[in-house]
Amino acid sequence: MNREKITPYLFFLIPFIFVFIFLVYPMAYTIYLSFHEWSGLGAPTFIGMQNYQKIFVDPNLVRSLKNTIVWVVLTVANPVIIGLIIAITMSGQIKGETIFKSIFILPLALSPAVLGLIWLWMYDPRMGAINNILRALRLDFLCRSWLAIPGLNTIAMIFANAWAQAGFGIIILLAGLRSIPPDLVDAAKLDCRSSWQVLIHIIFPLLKPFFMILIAITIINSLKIFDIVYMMTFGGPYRSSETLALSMFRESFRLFHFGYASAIASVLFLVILIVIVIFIHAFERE
Amino acid sequence: MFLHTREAITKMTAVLIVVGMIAAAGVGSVVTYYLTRPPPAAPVELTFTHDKPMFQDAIVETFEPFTEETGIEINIVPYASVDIYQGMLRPLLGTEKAPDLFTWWSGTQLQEMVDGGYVADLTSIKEKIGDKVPEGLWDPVTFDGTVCAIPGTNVGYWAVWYGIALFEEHGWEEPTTWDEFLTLCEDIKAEGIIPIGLAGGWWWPGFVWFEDLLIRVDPDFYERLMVGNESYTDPKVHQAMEVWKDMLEKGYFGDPEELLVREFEMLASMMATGEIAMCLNGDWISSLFEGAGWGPEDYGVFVLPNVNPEVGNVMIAEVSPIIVSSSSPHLEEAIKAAEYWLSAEAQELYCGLLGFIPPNVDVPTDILPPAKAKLVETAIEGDYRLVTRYWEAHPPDISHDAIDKFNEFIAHPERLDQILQDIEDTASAYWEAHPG
Repeated sequence: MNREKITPYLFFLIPFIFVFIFLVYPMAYTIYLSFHEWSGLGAPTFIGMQNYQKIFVDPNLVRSLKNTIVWVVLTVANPVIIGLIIAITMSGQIKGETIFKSIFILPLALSPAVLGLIWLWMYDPRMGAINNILRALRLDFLCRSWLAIPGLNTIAMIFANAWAQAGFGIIILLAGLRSIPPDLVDAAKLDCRSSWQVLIHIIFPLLKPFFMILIAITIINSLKIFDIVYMMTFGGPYRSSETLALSMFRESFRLFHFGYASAIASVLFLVILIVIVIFIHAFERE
Repeated sequence: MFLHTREAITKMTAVLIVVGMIAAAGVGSVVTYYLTRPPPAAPVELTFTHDKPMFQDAIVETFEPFTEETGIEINIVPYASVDIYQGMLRPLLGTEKAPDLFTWWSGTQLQEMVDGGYVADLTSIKEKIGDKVPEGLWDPVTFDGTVCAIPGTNVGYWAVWYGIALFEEHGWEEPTTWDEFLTLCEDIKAEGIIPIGLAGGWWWPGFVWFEDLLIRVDPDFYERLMVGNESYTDPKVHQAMEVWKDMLEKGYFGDPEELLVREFEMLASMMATGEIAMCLNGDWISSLFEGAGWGPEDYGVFVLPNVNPEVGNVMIAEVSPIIVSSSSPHLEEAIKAAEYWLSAEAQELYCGLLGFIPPNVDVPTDILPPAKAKLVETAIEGDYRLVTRYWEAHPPDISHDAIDKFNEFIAHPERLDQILQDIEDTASAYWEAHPG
């Protein structure tokens, strides 16, 4: 084999080694552990499928699954709807576009942990901005301990997360809108189409690949949601806002059920893999 | 010249060969000596890992005299995250990579390590120090008569803390009976102040009132419950929980929804501003009080009165132990370091720096803030029975679920029966799988 043929493989080797060490090996070890009982002390004990069987009868996992589904459903809608409205507004040549763009996109620069901390303060029942605004508007009866009420706490965290997610939607959809040839829109308008008709029949179909990317990434991120919940409620009170990723964390690092936590991680990985495969197929059809 | 003769040349050559051989042998011996001699003894360096980065400077300073005296170096490694610390440490135990000394939790949290043979026998330290450390502090680190850790980085006595100025302003006094305590709560509530604060946002404080009320109903029952010899549906548990329920329903804890998201910093701050009057907590809360603006003279403390007057002097104690790894290559030195840590000299230095209650009773209490000094004196003079805290006394598989249930109870006291049944189901399943 001559030098020219070998060189690309050498370049490939370096990232491959990193991927193997930091991704493939831990993933394989997680799957291996999922068939074992291990508290971190001594050697793991093989228990077959018991950890996987437990997942389907554990009521706490069922609740975590429900919460994760709520996250997926409500989070998907947000960057698509809010992102689209703001992207369309900003795609016209409006004054102060850069300022608006910065305001909406800024939260993307914050880590989820910082985001969680900011909103933890915002939702504080005594000192938080949300309740203070409600009090200032003489809407005291609406003041709540937002993160202490089961159900409401998950919605409150999704709302906090939406702040960052909307920015992501704006970036993707703004790029999509800017890629549509203006002539196409002008020609449609000349055909006496209303703005609404242009949106439905011209812009939406052309934005379809961008929507798909946005929805796929948002679904995957929601299935994995961890940081913001960890920071704001740690799944509480009384596990009411726990998600699958948080259950996994709790089982491994709090209860030392590393085998069971690995089984949860493996199932979560499988679900995400299925979502990715579905979207890749759909994308290829497009 | 005689060198010109053949005989002389031969003689000279022979002499040179002999001298050369002797020299070579000498050099060889020297080289062999240097190559084969044992290396000079390297100074011993122990590794001590812990999960308390806020205490790092004090720990380093406390070990300095030990290193000066013994020449044993100690590399002290703090971990910022408890979760990462636990996840990292467990797989290392029993291997040569295990730290020589490390912090952990006592009671059932330590049991698994003891069963696996990962911890060194420290009974010799107890034998030397003897009654300088109260027996109740040895209990959570003693298994089948073997001392497996020393009461180490923190010993917390649990009592009721309050603001002295607030009490003086309203003429309130420390209660000595349960009825007086309830009357005090009622008086405080009548002034528009929350009588009792709890930092429920930290999740684990959910068990605090359960354990303290139960030991004040029957401490022996509490200890039996912790090891699976009693049931959560027993009338004694109901009695303690009914007392708590009554207090919750009367509003002594304020708004439960606010309580469940309250952080410790907020609790301390609300006590400093007089919005909350009291809290039941380990003595380590004093550092939070001082962070909220109180000086050492601004807060007072009293032991929660017994619900059942027949119960003697009893108090919850929290012991954060230091453990010596059984696989340490420097076991002798590590045990020596642990022994030093428990000495009056080390404890005076360490507890003086942090304002902690020293486990060694030889340490003068004047290094402590007045309230803590009073608490220690009360415990010693009253010969208080020290009972291990719920977190350490109960297996995590039960306590974690139970804490969630206690937090649910705080929000929904009306669900008491179902909550106790749920905890009992978890406990029964655990004890069935872990008999003995």
